[in-house]
Amino acid sequence: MAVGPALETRGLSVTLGRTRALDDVSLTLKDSGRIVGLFGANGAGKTTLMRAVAGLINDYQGTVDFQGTVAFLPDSPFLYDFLTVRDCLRLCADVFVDFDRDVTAELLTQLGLRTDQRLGECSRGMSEQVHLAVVLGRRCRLYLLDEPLAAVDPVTRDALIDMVRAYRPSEATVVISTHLIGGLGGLFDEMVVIDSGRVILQSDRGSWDPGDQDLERVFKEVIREHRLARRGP
Amino acid sequence: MSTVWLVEARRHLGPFAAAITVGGLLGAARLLFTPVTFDVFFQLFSMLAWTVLAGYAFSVVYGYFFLGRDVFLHLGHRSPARATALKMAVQIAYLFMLFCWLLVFNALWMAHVGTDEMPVVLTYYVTARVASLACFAAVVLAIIAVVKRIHGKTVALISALVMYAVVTGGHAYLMWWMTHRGDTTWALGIASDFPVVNQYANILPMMIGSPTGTYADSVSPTSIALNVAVAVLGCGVWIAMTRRARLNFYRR
Repeated sequence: MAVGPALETRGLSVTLGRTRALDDVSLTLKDSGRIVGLFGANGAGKTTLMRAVAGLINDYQGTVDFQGTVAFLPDSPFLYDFLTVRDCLRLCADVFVDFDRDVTAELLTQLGLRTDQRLGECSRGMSEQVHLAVVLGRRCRLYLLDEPLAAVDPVTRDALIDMVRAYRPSEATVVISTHLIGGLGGLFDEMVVIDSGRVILQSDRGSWDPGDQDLERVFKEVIREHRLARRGP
Repeated sequence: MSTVWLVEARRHLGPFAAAITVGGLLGAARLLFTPVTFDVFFQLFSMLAWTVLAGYAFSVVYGYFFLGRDVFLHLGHRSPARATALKMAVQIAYLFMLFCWLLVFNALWMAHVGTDEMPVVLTYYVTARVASLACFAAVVLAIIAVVKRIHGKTVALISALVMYAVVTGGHAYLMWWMTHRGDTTWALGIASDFPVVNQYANILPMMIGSPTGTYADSVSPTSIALNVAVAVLGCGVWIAMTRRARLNFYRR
């Protein structure tokens, strides 16, 4: 049986107020099982693209298609502060049909997080870890993680990256949006660069050197060239 | 009861718990202290709490369905329409609990002032209130489903409020037109004095007074039936609109 692309958008456009947040975005992630970096400057449209794919934006043009279900980690907390971590797991089992409580419980144990603590009492970094553990506990074909590494220390960041690698289903595609590109060259199999609501580069690993800061250099060059080209001669 | 219902109830406990507490204190004071003064306070509080909490209920379902608030529930497997209905059900349950709580004090008050019509009046009052809540829920759901197609938050909110005012105003006028008689008086608000009877057009309270005091028997079935009819119509619009509308990309 032929399996379609992990994610395909066609002519996806979103207008937020007077701003064209996404402008005719056609993006295909062909191969499953990859970790894809979604990069762009502030306001480029990364979050809007993820929210649109996750089904959180009603007002749009174009189409989105993907296999199975999608798990989305927004860039701000979405679990309720008054719940304990344990209550969150119970609630997620009720709200997400694809949620595996054991996976999340194992992740929380690995991270050394207490389950009797209320989310409102957790630090921002700890809360982000709980959120990521909840999202990875879902058994999906597509994961969208919006800035999952923004509020964590370098040690925890490495732990989270290992978690993403180890706990996603093998056939699942993970799209990670982040500003912290430096040192992550080895994480991504593919990168997508977005600027002014348009995809300006989609590239496989091999076009950058995973061992150093090359990914950041490539990203900056692409953005610079695109903006110069838009300004014209 | 599933966890999501309990969590949703916990999220909105604060405003209703506050109203129940204050209402209880005023209701007890009305029975224990200077009756006339506290009766006024109690009635004013009942109206104010009802208005504010109905507005709160509207803001919760509108915020979820139109503005995309409560991302967690949006990401779940329930369709936006089902999740909105869940949220509305929780709000209506709280409003009904508040009503029952205030009704206890109203019943005690009636026993306090003495009336032999209490069972009849309470039966009509409870039925009228239940019908009005169902009507409120259905009309609000229908309106937010209609305005979902409007682009722009401000225009949509104004449209929703205007639509609600027009629908409820029309409902009140229709109720008056169907039931008025030459010797009755009509006014907005609620009262605990007889022979005034409290009826509802949607959740708009209307006092109907008659010199004989037996008018409740004839007007209540009409107003209740009207609320039920509008509720059925509202549910029909809600179901039709949410089945036709593309609510987001996700097929759930």
